[in-house]
Amino acid sequence: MATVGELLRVLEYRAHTLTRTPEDTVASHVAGWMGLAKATQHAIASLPLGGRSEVVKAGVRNVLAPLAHGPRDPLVGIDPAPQLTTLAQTMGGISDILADNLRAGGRAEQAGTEALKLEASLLSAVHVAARWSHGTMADQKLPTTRVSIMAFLDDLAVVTEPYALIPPGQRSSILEDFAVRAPNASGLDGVTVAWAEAAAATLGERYRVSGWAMQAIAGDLALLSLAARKAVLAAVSGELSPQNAAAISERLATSARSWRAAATWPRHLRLGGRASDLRAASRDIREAIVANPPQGVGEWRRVLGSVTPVALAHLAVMRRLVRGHELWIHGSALDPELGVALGWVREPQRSHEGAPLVKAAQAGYQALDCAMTMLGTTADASATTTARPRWAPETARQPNHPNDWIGLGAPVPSSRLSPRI
Amino acid sequence: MTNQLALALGHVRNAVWQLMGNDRDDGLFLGLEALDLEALLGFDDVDPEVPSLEPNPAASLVVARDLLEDVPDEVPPAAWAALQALIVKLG
Repeated sequence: MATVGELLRVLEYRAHTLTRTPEDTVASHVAGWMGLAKATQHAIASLPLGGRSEVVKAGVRNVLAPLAHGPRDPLVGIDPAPQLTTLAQTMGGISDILADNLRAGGRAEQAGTEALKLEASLLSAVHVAARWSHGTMADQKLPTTRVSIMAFLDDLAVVTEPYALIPPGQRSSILEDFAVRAPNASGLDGVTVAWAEAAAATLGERYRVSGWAMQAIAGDLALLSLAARKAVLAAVSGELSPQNAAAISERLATSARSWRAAATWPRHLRLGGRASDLRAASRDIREAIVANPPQGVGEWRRVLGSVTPVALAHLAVMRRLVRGHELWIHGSALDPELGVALGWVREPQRSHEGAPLVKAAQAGYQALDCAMTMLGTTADASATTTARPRWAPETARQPNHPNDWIGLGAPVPSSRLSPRI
Repeated sequence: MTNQLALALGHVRNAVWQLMGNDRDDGLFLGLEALDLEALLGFDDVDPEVPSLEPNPAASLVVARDLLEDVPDEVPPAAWAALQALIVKLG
């Protein structure tokens, strides 16, 4: 599954291997920049940089806008410069992943510094492309269009230069862990996305909520917490310090214990209903954990990031069920002698049998959320997301691979690379 | 729906409670499998009975199986395999 980090490496590789070709005319660059500038605008717009978005992002937006808009007269019959097109496609892939993962605004630890670091990486690549494009057009003749695009590229290069001065090792961001959230992706990543969708759909509709679903969701959260704890304890040196690993593992142990308690409904409590979608997704989670559990901290951060909102929704629903006395209780729990004849009845106001389940869900959510925050703030992002140089020869990807719309092709051996500007 | 199915479902629920509630690491995984079995048996939203607890989850499931064998027409075929596999796992 393509991650932002992987696409970023492709973007940087492509930006640093730009070469002049016969197709690099002024018109093709004008057309090419329309796509690249738009994709960059969208990617930057998704980043939770903090502050007021329209103010914080104004500088970059202002220099990208004229390039994205293009010339006053429409470009007819002009093909965009191929290398700018591939950059735009890769940037578009990053933009789509960011938009999908940050739909709800992202978690607190993902905003601010981490988003700024990713912004720096994206704009650094754009800076290199702007300078290359500027240099390519410098000796071409096409008066008005050339002059204006050269000025726009100058502005862009000036605004983005500070980002390009930051060494790559200092701008590794935990946002690079984001991946395409596809239910059909392989491994626990994809299975978790499908499970989270099924669980959210169940929890989001009153008539679909059942005791069975509440137990299954809580149990699955316990299982995921337990498996994540195992991975954190086994994290390779450099991903987490022993102290951080111990602290995160403690939170995950609490999460597992609490969610297991939340899944252990008393035998005399129930809420009828069925959840066939969730049953299949729950089974897939168990199978994926046994067959192919993720090993890296980054992957687990992604998995837990998908399920934490479900944990919060579970807590909210559990609270509503208990406070509203919507659960059903067996008469034998109300009156051991005469109650059996009553069978199942709505829990009366005087009964609070479900309260421990709410407490357990609350403790489970808090521990899981805390573990997620710690994974985001204490994990060494450079170790978990960019363990190797960004576009080192052994990791560089072959551009223009067949059926390779976002640029993730096969690895290629390559000589030492350097920007060709 | 007969009383047998409701009673069997009650024993499966007991097994879920026993597995989830114990402190063993494998209890959680097995508890989730028992919960899956509960979903198979409760496909028609059967109101379960609340029978007395058996000494352990395996015994609860064996009682459930014995009860279901009296009403095979009411048992979803998929439940047999899941029930048997769980009994074997629990020894």
